[in-house]
Amino acid sequence: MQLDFRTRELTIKLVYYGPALSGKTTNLQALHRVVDRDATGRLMTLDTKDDRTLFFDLLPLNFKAKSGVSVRIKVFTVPGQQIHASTRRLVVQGADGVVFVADSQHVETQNNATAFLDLKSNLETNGLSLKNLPLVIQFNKRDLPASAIRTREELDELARRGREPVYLAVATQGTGVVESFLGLLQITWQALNQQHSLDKKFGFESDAFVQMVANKLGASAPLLRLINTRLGGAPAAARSQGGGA
Amino acid sequence: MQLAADTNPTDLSGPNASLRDLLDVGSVEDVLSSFYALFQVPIRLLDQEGRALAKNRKQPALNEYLAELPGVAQRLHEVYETLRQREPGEDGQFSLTCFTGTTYHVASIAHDGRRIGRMVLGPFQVSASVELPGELLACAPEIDVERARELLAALPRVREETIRAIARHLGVLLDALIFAGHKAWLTESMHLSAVQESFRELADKAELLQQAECRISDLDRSRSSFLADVASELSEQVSGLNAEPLRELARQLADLARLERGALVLNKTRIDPGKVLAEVQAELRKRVRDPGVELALPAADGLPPVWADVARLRQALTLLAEAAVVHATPLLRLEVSRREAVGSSAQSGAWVLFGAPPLAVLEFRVIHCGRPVAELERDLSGAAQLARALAARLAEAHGGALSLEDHPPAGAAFVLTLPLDAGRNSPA
Repeated sequence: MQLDFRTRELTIKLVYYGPALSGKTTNLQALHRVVDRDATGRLMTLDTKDDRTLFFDLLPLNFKAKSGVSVRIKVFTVPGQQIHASTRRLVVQGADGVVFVADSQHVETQNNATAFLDLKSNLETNGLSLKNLPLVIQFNKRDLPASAIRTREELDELARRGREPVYLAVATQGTGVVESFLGLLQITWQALNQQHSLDKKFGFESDAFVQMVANKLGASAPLLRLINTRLGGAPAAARSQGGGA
Repeated sequence: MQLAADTNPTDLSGPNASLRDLLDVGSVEDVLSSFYALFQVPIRLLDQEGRALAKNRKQPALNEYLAELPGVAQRLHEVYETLRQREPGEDGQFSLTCFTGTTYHVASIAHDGRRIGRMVLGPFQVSASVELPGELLACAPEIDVERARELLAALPRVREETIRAIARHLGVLLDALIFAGHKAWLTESMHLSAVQESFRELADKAELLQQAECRISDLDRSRSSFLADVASELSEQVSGLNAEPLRELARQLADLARLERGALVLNKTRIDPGKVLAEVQAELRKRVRDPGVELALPAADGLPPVWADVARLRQALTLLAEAAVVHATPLLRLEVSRREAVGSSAQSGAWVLFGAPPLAVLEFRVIHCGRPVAELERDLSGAAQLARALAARLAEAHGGALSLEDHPPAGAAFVLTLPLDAGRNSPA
């Protein structure tokens, strides 16, 4: 996070991480499609000619809170391919929150695990830890045949054993994309607020702010209903009190 | 386009790219000249601090002539300063009527929700009048009125809504150029950073390689020493014609050889770690006849079962204990406990979802009370060294490790660590 008191500007960095071809760029494209034009610029993709992410994608989101503070959210993806390890390490540097986009297919289980360990390792290299970093997990590609993907029941059961919110998504159709993003934004905001007292210093109303972002993303449902589409995940209060479990 | 050598462009704490970073000045001047050819309105681009960045190549003759007049030059300079310094309001633009009778229009250049520069369009005339303003005539009595009127008449006549439309059109074009420039800037910066990161990674790996090379040299030396010890041990046993220790030594060597080539098959089951230690203690009681050696085994209840080959685990622990007994450790303690693996105290559900690494370990401690690590290391015989090597390989074959650590206040402990895999070891 970067805070500029002079210009009353707050910048947050969120990163979409995950194995190759899990749908990270597709998530950003889906967000870009639905977000109010006043709140975003162009989606920047630094990719190769075969549309594989080379360095990262960047979706800039800009919001003006009621208190007058500008909140800029820079949403990045990392390149998932194995050869771009050093780039992933750079992109995750200074991340305030991470969406881990996992592939729901059985055959991708090992790649999910490898990418998750890679995330852990890169966070540690940058002085961050999974224990403290706001993290949500998205299981993407839920539209694939049931026999090819992990069942909802299985994921639900596993998610209840953990503390990270788990969202199910079909990023190509935009399903679950806004929910995952808002889920991360909410816990990231809570963590930053706890650390920097943003509500007090800038007169933010956290829930109202996240609800405003939800509206700018075209969501008509109440924030709580969107966020509660998750599987598992400890209540925010329990999460902020020491990261147990 | 300038790149900072040590900047990660995705790092929020780094500097933001400036307009100068994002635009190719030569290309922009071509665009501005093209606009001038179309609308006859001079255009300048300034960065956010008001520094000139680009302008169309042809400038109006009126200002050049007026700048030569002593009384006008200073006033013109003040106008230019206002254009450079004044920040447009909320709507991002303003118009300024000059004492020369001309008008300027200023519009912000924004990118990524942030103002990064300004465009200044003008001078132009809003009305069709070619009369010189009294304010101009007052400050320049020597002015050549006819020439000035001629030059004023040569300026374009542009209505307010037209100049706003031109500014808007140029803004859209600049936005596209800035986006492309930003993309190029990010790509080049990221490329540079990635190369630096890869270089750093390579340097780290080269250092690790060097350390590994040193370790290999050490191991070579240890191997030679180990062979000498084993030879000496064999020689002692043969000369004493003591058949059982000789057979035991041969078994250990055979096991070690099988472990080294990965040919030892482990028959893993879920076992009770406390029970294994009790069995080791019972076995040791049979073998150790020295009444001065005390074998202590504190209760170890409530420990999770571990996934291991019970015979091989017992073998490893017995070897470690015997190595101590042989060296007359007066009090030998056997302990087992569960320890959280580093960083796993807050178990993340993600580990469960993606395949958990070891979250906790079981530590079997064979504690040699009253014998410091250095002393134990020094006194270990060839047979004990062999036993230690074999125990270490057995631990590794179970995915664990063996270490020799200080055990306060004045002891040493062989610590055999086995991973507790959440899926396999959790009680049914």
